[in-house]
Order: sequence, then structure tokens, then C-alpha cells
Amino acid sequence: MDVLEKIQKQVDSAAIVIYMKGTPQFPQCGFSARASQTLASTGVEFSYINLFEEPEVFQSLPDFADWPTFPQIYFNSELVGGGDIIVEMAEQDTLKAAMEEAVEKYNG
Amino acid sequence: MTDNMENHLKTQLEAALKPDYCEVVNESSQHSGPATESHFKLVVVSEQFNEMKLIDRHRFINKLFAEELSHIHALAMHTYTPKEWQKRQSAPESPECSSKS
Repeated sequence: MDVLEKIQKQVDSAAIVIYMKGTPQFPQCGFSARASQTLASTGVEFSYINLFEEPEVFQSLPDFADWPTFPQIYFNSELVGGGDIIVEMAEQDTLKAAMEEAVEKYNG
Repeated sequence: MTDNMENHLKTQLEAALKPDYCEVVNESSQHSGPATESHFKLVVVSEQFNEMKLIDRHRFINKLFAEELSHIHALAMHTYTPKEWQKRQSAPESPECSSKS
């Protein structure tokens, strides 16, 4: 399977997906750590993909969404942004609602 | 490439966005590894963000620094309209590296 197809399948596989360095339990980058902690703080479930376990995906993800940096966070297969955007949404108190809406849409 | 990335980023931002406020911080020393120009944070306040969603503001800056981002390891971005900035007056701190990169 083409790597871009693989990424598409991954972002389609759950309502909320974060591509990060490491895992939420053992993050290996400060920005990935903060983004996954911020998502977790809402209590809404999300999936993650550890870029260190998927070197092909790591390589091609920036082209997939035309976004050069990590982490990357997807709601309903669409890029919401990187870590700074997630943190900003949490500060503005819009993150939890956006995540709940994504889950509802995914399940509906 | 200039030998001072901090000034270079700032000059480019000022030219592209005519910001009310613009701050570029070299945070490389907070991170492990030998590189001295690896981690940067920028805070930009510009009228031009008024009509742009957050993701579009970040995309704009990613495009502006497409070349630079192939050398820089991390670029934290905090983008505000003058109105948003008036409410907060400061940007979030960047995280420490937890271990590797």
C-alpha cells in the first residue's frame, strides 16, 4: 500500500488521531508530550500514532497535510493543527467541545 | 541563511505581516544537543490575522519559513490579532524536551 493511502486510513480510523514522537505514556518530545496531555485533559478518548514506530509515515506525513512539523492532530480526518493550536483551543475553552463534536460526528 | 537565525526570522515576519508586536526567542539552550539554532518560539500580533483562522495563520508562517524549517528543529508559534493580544498580553511558555528530540 502506498504510504499516503496508509496515512489516510490511519486518520480515518478514529475520530481524533494524534501523530506524535513517542506515546502519551512515554512521550519523546516536549511538544508531543504537551499536545497529548492537553488532549487527555479533556477526558475525551483519542488515538495516537508513534512516529518513531512508523518511519515511512514520519517521512511522508508533512507532505500528506502540507504541514512541516510534529505533532499533528486530526479530527474527522482533517488536520486541526500542531501542538500550539491544541493548547490555544484548550486555553480558549473550545477544545473539549470540538473533540466531543468530532466523536459524535464519527459515530453518527 | 544569515548566521543569526533569530534576526532573520524576525525580519521576515516584519516584512510579511507588518506586525504590531513581534518577538522571536531562541530557546535552543533549553534543549539537549549541540545545536545553538534549533528551537525557536515566535509571538506575532498582526491585523492581518483578523480574517484568518488559527490553522491558516500557522500555515502562512510555515510557508514563509518553508526553507528555514528544514534546518530548525522546532518552531513554536503564537499568533494573535491585536484584539486577542489585548486580552492576554503574553504567550504560553514552550515545553521542555522530555528526553530525546
